[in-house]
Amino acid sequence: MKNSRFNALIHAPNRLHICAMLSASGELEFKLLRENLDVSDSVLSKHIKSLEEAGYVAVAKRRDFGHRRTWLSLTSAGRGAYTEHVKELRAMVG
Amino acid sequence: MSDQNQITTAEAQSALESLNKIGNETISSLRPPLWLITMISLLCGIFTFSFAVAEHENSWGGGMWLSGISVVLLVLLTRYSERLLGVRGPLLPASGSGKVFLALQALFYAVVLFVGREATVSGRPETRLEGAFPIADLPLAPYITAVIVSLSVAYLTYKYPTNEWVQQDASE
Repeated sequence: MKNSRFNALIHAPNRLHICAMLSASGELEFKLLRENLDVSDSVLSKHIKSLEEAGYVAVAKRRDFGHRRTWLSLTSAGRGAYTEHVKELRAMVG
Repeated sequence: MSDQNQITTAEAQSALESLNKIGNETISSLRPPLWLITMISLLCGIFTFSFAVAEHENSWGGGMWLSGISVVLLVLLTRYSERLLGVRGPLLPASGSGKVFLALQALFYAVVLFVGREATVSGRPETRLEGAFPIADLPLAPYITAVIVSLSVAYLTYKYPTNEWVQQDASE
């Protein structure tokens, strides 16, 4: 089954998890995502990097309450790609 | 998955189930505590009631202001605690479906508030403006609209804390 809306980059389990969490909220902190995914910093960074390079995720580093925190959010392209991907999965299942 | 762009129906089904689970877990982790949901929904109910019955001759106008300010403060407290936990919700939902969902909610509450007020005050012959069309004279209208607003706010805050439309299992 080959489809244009199917997104292999998003479909990888951890990246699908990241996109699903980000689509349900505005911005999430890196630490919160790492705890939810139960992965190491480096593994999450790698996934975020590939999503960022595709233009799907925006990374912002800001000082908050005296701490430097990394915030992640879906870009409009990322949100669109994720929505299309989920639509495609639903279409496959029927 | 044998090819990067090829998956079977079973794999698609499994991915969707996993997405439902993630949606439920995300909503659970972003949901404000129950006491806060209860407080906000009760205050919204009090605001609706006060708005419907407020007149120059009574002090429900004060109740309206107090409950309104309390709701705003509790929402700010919720957003502050979420930010401490690592969640920053936008003022407006980012997705199109989220914006439509929010617009429908705003319309619903505007209609309920308007009907509650009109059915309580404008319907009374002694307060009706000359020539104005009376909606009704329903003594229970403020109570009914307050309960509708209170229950709907509690339900929506519980099920959709980020205002984003998220697919969730019916069992949740």
